[in-house]
Amino acid sequence: MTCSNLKHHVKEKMAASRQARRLYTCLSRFSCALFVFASLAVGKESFSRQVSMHYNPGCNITECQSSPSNDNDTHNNLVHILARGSRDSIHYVWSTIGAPTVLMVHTTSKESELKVDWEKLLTTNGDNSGAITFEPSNEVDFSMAVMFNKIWEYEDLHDKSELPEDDTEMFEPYDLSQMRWGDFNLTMNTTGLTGNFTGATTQSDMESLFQNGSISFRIHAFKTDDRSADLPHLQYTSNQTQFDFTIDSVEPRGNMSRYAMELMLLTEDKHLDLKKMKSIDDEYTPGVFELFELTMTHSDQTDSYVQWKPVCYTKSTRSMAVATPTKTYKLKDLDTTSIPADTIARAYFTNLDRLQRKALNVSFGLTGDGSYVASNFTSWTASVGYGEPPSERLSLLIIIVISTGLGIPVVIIMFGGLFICCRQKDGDKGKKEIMDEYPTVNGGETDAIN
Amino acid sequence: MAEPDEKSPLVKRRNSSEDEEELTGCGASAACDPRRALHRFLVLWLICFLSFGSYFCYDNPAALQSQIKKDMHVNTGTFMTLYSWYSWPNVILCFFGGFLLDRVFGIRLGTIIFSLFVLAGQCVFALGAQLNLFWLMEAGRFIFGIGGESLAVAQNTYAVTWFRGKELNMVFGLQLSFSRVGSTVNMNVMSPVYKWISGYVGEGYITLGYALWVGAGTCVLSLLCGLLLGYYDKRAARILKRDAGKTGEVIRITDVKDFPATFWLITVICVAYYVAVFPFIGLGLVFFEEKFDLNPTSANAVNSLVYIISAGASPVLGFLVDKTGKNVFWVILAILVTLACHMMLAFTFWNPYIAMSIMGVSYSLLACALWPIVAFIIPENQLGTAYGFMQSIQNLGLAVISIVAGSIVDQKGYLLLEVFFLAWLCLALIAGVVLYLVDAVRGGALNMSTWERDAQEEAEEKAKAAEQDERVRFKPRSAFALRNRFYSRIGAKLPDHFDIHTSSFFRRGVTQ
Repeated sequence: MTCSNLKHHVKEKMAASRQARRLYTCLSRFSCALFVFASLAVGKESFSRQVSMHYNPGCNITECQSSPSNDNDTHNNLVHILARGSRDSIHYVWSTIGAPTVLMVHTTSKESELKVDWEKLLTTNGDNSGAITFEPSNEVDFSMAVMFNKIWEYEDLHDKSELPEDDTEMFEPYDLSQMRWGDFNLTMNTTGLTGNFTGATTQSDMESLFQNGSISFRIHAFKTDDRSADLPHLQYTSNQTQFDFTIDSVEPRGNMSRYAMELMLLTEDKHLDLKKMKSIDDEYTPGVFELFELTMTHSDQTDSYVQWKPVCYTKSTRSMAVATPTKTYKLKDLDTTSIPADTIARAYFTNLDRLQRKALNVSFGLTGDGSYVASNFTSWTASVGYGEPPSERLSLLIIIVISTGLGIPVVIIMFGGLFICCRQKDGDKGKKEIMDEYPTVNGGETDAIN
Repeated sequence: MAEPDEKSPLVKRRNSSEDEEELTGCGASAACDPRRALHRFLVLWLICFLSFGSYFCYDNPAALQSQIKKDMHVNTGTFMTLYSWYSWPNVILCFFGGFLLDRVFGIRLGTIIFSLFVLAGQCVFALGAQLNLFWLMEAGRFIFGIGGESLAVAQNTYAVTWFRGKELNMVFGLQLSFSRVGSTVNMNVMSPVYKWISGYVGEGYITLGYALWVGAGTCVLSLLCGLLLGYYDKRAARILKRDAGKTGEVIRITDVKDFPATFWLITVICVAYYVAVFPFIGLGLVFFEEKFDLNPTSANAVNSLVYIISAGASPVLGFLVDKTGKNVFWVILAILVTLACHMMLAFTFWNPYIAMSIMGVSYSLLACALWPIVAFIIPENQLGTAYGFMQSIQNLGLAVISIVAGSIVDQKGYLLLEVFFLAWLCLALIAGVVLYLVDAVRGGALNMSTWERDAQEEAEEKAKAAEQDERVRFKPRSAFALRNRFYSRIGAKLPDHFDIHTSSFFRRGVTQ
């Protein structure tokens, strides 16, 4: 039967009853409305930005040239991602100078520029404050920084997957300000807007643990709005950059080693809030029903966010089979003294005391997954962005499947009930008639024969 | 017996109350008299223990998973083949098992043969472990599978033969709970047994082999039950003259296509319902951990709730269905409740203990009410085939849907998986409603309450007796009739009160 035939057939059947037809039109209207709604939802954010990526912009001193001769030295990587809109622009500055840091600055001018005083930034023995500025400076309306400071490692002997409260119960942490970072320029893709910061520790006694291993941040900016192709399929917009944080083949120091990362946040005069959002929908990230958001709000309007799902992956090809949960711990206040010395956050923010300062730990793995030792690989994804964080909603597929799947039985039960009612009335009538017409047929026939 | 008079038949009609076998000794006591309830319940124990061995051994690999993987040096994937070698062949084997039961072996011999297969399979399995040959273990599982599922079919058939029209629903419930008991005992016993043996032999494949021989012991127990059942069934058939009513027809494989529509609807319900329960339990652990923030221990507890509850609730619910009848109503109710449970799990964050407990009860209710319906619509000589066929399709459904469900979770997550299961339950619901309608059109035989059914059966019995009278070609004549026949042959005058015309009226019953 062809499709049109089938349709015709279905229609014919439906036309059999007026009620059915009314219901049918109602249903088709409903699905039409659904489609309109869905296309609205998709079409809503057609606005996008001009996004570009630059490596060490405007640097002409030797410290920031990539040269194969000083391979053992750390590279001074600074990546500028610029997202220009029609009325404003967002600057992301990712850098491994000092410690891995991302600085986000929003300006109300679409022509604002990043200015880096490289001499000042790279003089290691002094105050780099004021080395990074944005012009025109009076157009800057919002800025924040996220720093990645320490990697904790602890021995989870009883497989409780709980980060110890006390530092003394852990191994000496990897200090990300004491890392040797590779050249970002080699991995940078200015059309795909991606690139890797890869590093190994230079801490004494711990260097050997990084013989084949590395810690890396893969950053990714976007020109459009969509969902990333890889798990956990976070939503992205041109207002944000995503990063995958990976600990690969680092030799664990315990038999049940687990890692955790410390994030630090700096922002001006804003309300910093950690939210855990629960959803019944895990269609984009199978098995994950939560979404964490660290939001910085000012007078009820969200200005920026860090967003992540509580899941990390234990193989480089991500799938649900290699997923293991992450745990997020409470926001804590942060001393100015614990902020890494040479980070670009210090170069931009001139008065750290006036800032909102918070720190947060995220640990990787959960009871029963065999800890880091089982796979020697952990990778976790988050995004840093400007504006309202993208919110999750049910996909059209789910809505359609649910409405048809649950609609059909309801219809069938209704009609079935109707049918039974009608039939029982008819049946009662019919029975009575039969009873009246015929007397009992069989009687004492055996007597008659005998 | 009164003196024969003029109008009583000269040749005595076989009278069932007269030529019954005299039972003596123990046979006369309530426990051994097949006409008495006590004997039936003793046989019920045999029926239940008949499958105990196969359920116990079926989950041997799960109970000894880490030991098998360590001793035989296999990974999880290879280990799982121990289950696939059991389940995939059974997609077709238990259909043929049921058919052979009806056509070739008969239930008594068939049961014993299948029990032997189970025993042999477990022996080969244990031998494989003892000789450190993993392929031999797989072969053992295959042989075990040939017997296992078909034995379940035989068990169903036995239950119907002994309990049709009596406590059938409860018996099905009890069988279900016994299957759970079997695997639970296995889960709790095998590991300590292994440990205990390793105390003497030391760890290794030899110990594993010895531990599995314990499993073979339970199969011997089941075989003994099969032998005893065969004996008692034969004896009961003789005493109760079960064979008297049989037509002697044998089933052909093509008879399957002539099974009534109601049977197919029941099969649809069976597949659509079971795939929404068991593959879900298989994937449930992560769902409960992640969505409801349970720790692995409590997630495991929630996940096994359906099994635990069904073990306790199914005989009780079976009893309820026995007392009330209305099987189709109970089936539809069970599907609706399960639908509600899945919705709860899919769309709310309510404590999963609630949904899973209710699902355990509704699953037991369905299992008790659904399987016995088949006994109402399929003639007894085809029951084995019918049950085998249902079980085959169910196995196929479970095997395929488990794979599909796994990939749905991987690709699209648990919400869509739940929606997928909801769709299956809706299909089951539709089939249930259609079953009700079809049955209602045909007079509502399947959804009768118990007293209606009893009344109908009584009426049918009477009608059958009358029909049999009709069928007998040479009816024993009364002295009066014979005399008249003789008179008419020789042309003598018939008595005035015997008029051939009026007697034909009598025959049609018009004058009455």
